[in-house]
Amino acid sequence: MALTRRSFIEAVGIGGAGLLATPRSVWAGLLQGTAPAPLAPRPLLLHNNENPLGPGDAVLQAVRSALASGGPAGRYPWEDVNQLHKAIADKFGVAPENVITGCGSTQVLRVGVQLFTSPVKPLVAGQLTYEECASYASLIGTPVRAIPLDKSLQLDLDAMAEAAKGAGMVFLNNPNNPTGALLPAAAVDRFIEKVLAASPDVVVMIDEAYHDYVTDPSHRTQVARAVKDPRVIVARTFSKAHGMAGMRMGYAVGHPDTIKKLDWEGPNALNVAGIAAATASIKDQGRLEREQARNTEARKFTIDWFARAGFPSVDSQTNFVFVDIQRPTKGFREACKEQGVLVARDFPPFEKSHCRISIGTLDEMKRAVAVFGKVLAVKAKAA
Amino acid sequence: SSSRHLVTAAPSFENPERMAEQLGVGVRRVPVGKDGRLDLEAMAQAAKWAGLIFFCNPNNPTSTLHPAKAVAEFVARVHKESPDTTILIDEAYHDYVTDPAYATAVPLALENPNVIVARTLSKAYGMAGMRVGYAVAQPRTVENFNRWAITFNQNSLAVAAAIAALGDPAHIEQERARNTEARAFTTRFFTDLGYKVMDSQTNFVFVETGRAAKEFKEACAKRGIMVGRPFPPLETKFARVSIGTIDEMQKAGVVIAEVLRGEGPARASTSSNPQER
Repeated sequence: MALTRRSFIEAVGIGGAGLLATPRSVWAGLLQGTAPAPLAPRPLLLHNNENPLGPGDAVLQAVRSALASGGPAGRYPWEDVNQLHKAIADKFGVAPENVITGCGSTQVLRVGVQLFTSPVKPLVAGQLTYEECASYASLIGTPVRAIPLDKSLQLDLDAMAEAAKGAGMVFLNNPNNPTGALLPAAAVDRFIEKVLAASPDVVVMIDEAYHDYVTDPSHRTQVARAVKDPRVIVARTFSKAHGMAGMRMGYAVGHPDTIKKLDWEGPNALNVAGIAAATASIKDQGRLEREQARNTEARKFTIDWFARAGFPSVDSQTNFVFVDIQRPTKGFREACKEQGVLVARDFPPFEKSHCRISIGTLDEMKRAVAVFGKVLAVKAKAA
Repeated sequence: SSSRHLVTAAPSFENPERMAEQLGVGVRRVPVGKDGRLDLEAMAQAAKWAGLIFFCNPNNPTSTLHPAKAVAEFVARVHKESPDTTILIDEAYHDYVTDPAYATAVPLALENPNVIVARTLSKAYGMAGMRVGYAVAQPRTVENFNRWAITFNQNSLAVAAAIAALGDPAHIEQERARNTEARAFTTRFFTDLGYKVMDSQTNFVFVETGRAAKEFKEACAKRGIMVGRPFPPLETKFARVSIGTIDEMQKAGVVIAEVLRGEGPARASTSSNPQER
């Protein structure tokens, strides 16, 4: 049976998935012993780039053991974290000293911004890229040099390299969220070398959250460089292809000196279930490959559908597509929601033309495009 | 912030000062009194212009507490002179308190924008591995806090577990009763051997062993008992020992008595962990 997000929670036996989709006011009712209001039928969740199949049976089994009676849920998980670091290190052929884990890759990115930027050491990032670094930078008073994408909706590496002079950290999301676009390894290599040569202090943070979904042979991970160069860090996550967004597990690979610096929380941010899940998942290369294949088929279906309907997409190497729907995102999103399909938030400056749509199962995408067809058949309103 | 310092007791739970050091924030450490209680007078003095006072009640590792009245007076005193200083009251061990003079400071947090009460599910709730904690404060204070929090810093399973746990107060009553009995047993064990134990209102005791905590810990570890890490500035004479089941404390007692008498063979050592609670 396909292991959906929903059935994952039910199968672990902790209570219905409905509990976790329940608004806060209903939680309050639960605490007082009143029954929760009945839930609406679940919409298609194509707005958060999640893996529709969840984390898989082996992971489920590992989580069950971790939460079993007499098991480790009551103990701080420090030893288990060491085992996870070893498992991640083994996968990359590096040492545990090259690995750090955190509460999602979010934690790694935020600590990076905290450590390497300041009011006088700006952050350089694409104007349209994963927002976490820039949001946190703004919170702590770090200036952000936001570099517009180029005409082909790619990160503008030349402009970013120029902006990196005197910067504290450069954030490179490859493939990029929300465009789905990939920069080939050769271009990324040249970019990194150029940035590091021109700015002796700058650190390059490469977020490879969607690495496992890439099929383009021009791609290569930057992990090998990161373990050798203390100024390059590769961030990864268990929230996407590994299918455990709710478990809050992420990691980074890098030079031991840099990894030590990034170690702000120690193992305190990690929970036993997430550690068990991640340890099991990182060892299951076969499942990752099947997940990549599954996504590739559903992604192609979706891109082809939109293309035939007259709406081009950016060439996606991830589990979402950035479609030129030729109308404001907001109206499209609301119309889709009315018909039970959730698509992503606005992404300025493309909120008048594009929409990011996550790739669910092939079956879900077939149902989704029926809705998209209806919504898009309505003439585009004037911007 | 870099211009507003942290005030904490010495010894107390180290997490806030560790974070302050990482952020380059000044730390004023105020030694506890001879009875292990936070020195309210000295902490109030140190609080002038402070950004944050970390007030652990009951205190880890000394296990002692200040009654509700003293806490309320301390808060009023600090804010009279330093209205912008935030007071973070850590009530991690709240559920283990039996002293009737104690009361939670949550009412203070609800009426004062600069008071926050922190709680955890890692102790009496037994969910240390699930990583769930929370704080109670005025809505504006909470909003401000949340601007800085990592979005989705709680994992789904922990959320479900926490909701179930919080909905079962009877379980916590049982746990408090269990700990109270084991705590009395443990305290008697040490006092019978002639060692002073601070007045514990938690799930651990702070014992004046008269020897270095490091050596005591290593000697116990060699014999299969893990006790607390050193807590400067009292690490030369005091050890923190957590309270397990009575059965566990009986077994531990045999070993600890041996170590304190300086006798008994060393068995295979167990690894100790630097990142302890």
